[in-house]
Amino acid sequence: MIELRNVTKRFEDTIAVDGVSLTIPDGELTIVLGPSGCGKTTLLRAINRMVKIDAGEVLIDGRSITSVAPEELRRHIGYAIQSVGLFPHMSVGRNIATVPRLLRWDNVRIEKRVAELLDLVGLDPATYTQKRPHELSGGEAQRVGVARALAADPPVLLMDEPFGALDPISRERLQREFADLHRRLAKTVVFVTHDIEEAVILGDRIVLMRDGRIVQVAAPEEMWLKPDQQFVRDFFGAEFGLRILSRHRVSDLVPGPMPAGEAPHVSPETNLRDVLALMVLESAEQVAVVVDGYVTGGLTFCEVVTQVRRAS
Amino acid sequence: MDSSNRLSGTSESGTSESAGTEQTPPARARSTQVVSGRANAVISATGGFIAAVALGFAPFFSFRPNRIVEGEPVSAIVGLGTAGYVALILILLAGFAAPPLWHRGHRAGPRGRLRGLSGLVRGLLASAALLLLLAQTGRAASEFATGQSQAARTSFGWGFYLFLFALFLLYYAASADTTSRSGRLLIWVVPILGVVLLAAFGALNELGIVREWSLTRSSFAPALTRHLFYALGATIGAIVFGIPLGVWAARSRRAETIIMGGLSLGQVLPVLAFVGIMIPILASLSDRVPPLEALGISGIGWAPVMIVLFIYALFPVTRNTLVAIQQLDPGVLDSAKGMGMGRLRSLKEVELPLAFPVVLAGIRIALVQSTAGAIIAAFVGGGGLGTIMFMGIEQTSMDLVLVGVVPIVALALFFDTLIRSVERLSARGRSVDPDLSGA
Repeated sequence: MIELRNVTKRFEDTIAVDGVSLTIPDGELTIVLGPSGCGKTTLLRAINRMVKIDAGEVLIDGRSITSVAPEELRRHIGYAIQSVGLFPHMSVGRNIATVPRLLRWDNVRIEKRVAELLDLVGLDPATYTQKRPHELSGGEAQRVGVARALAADPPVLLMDEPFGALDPISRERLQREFADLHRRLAKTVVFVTHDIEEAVILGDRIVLMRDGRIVQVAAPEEMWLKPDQQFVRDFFGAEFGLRILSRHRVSDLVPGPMPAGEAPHVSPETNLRDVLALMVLESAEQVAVVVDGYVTGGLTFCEVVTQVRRAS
Repeated sequence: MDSSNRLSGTSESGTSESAGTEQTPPARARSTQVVSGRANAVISATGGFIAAVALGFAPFFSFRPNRIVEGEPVSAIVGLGTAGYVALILILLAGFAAPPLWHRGHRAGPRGRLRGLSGLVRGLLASAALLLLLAQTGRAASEFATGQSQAARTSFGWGFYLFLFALFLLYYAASADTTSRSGRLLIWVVPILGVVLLAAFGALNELGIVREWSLTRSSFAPALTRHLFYALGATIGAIVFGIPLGVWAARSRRAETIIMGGLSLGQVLPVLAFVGIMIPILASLSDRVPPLEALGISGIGWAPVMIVLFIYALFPVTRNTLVAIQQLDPGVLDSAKGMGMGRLRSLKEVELPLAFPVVLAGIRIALVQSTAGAIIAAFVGGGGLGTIMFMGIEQTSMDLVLVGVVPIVALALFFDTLIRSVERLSARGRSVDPDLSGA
């Protein structure tokens, strides 16, 4: 658990973070979201002391982060940034091994861990361990960046717009894979982004910031249904509901009776946004849920709408 | 001509918009290669032309009854007869045998096989001309020397130096055209090896420069050693102090201002004036501190020279270290720090290795500069090759001047080539892909 208490940071005459208090529960993926210049990156960097805060304190599992040397602290917190920052003169394997080397793991253990991590992020260890960073695509480099952040199995992972510099297609793929990864590893992740779509897709909870202060902390659904302020509504915009729909799949809903006539087919994996789009496209009131070629049930427009509200 | 060809080519192939744009890049790439091939051919032909003029009309060498008097300058073809004409033909062939000079549409690949082969042949032809000329001049010199006094000299005239310059152009174009690495190496090694062999077999013994060298032989080796001592000593000192200074300057703005300001000031001061300033300072120091005197540090001799060369060498090393570290990708530094590397660790594992090629370039500049700069030692009784050079100037013996200067130039070129190749090796695979640096 990460606790921030009254954290304040000033840069010359601007206040980047203004008395922020926040509790980040274990195992959750917490998104820090806000317009640029709202202080979200500063807040993130305060956690691993990359930014020295002027007032307040930060606790990890009840211990103040100032109780250990900053280098020691950082070795136990994963860190991934938008520019990746792979060391261009080291192989992919050596890049990933950075923190384990700092922690003086033995070589056998490091080698095993590197292979394991490359597998984890979907890169073949045999092909990639010896590659140099300049031989990687943007997406591959960011995968290596994530593997490097996870190297010493830190309980906490800080990520600053890690997918921000990627093209839309690889960004979407990495987001999806990262969501899966998070589900499996259950790390405490603090993830900074200004991309609303990314925040809604990935976040267990969203911390919405503005001008150095927190506006609202809530799960995306709650933020959609019960926005604290007009700013929240304005910031997420009219598409917010559709984005929430894309967080849910057909399998999350209880299917209704089989459709009587012809109906477009969807699978349990289809997300609800696509289901609605399909209904509009086909001018259909309902869809048929198909598993292994058999229709197992149906969903009507009303069912989708009411069940999403209830689930939220 | 060339650009109009390219334009019409594009418009013919461009039946549809997309087809046209797809075909443009390779077409342009090919045409630039044709242009660069032609540029080399023009350089080669220029070299051939200048060399021919140097052989045919310029004073190539002169026979002088003694070291001081002006001799009768002779051109190569007059002085060497048949050999001169043969060399002239060889050098014309070497200069003008580049295929792109004759075929306008010569486009057999990036470096056509024919062009590559012609590069090698041209290089070897030029070397043949050089070696023939040297051997024949050496023979003419020994013919002239018989029956003359010991002080008789056969010296090269400006035509010879012009010829060397033209030769450099020829080699440059030839090696640029040659595709294989070993071929390029051959072009440069054959003439050097050839001259060494000619000298080893005594074919050049009667040339003025060699005569002077054998006369100063006993003082040559110590002068060379002393010269190397200055150049390497100053450079090593600059490495030891310059890299930490550069790192320090990169860490803080104020340090940068003070360090770079101070070092620039040192650069502005003329070397000789600097040595002049050092003399009284060091003299009074060694008077007051006996251990310094015991080390041989005094107002004259090696100490002021070494100190001044060191301070001059400090500038390129420090500046390059500073710039190299300042230009590192901030994302790389941020992630090094963010993963828990301390300052020293980050310096050792990330910053210095990444800065290395640029720092090395600074070291190269320092070394080449110190090698040339060590001439000043001659002014304060510090020895070195400068002593021989100034002796030559005093005696108005150009040959003796060259005995001092040629090794300095050769050393500087050698150091430059050596470190450059290390730079090239170390820079390989180090480039940061722009995609990775992100924002």
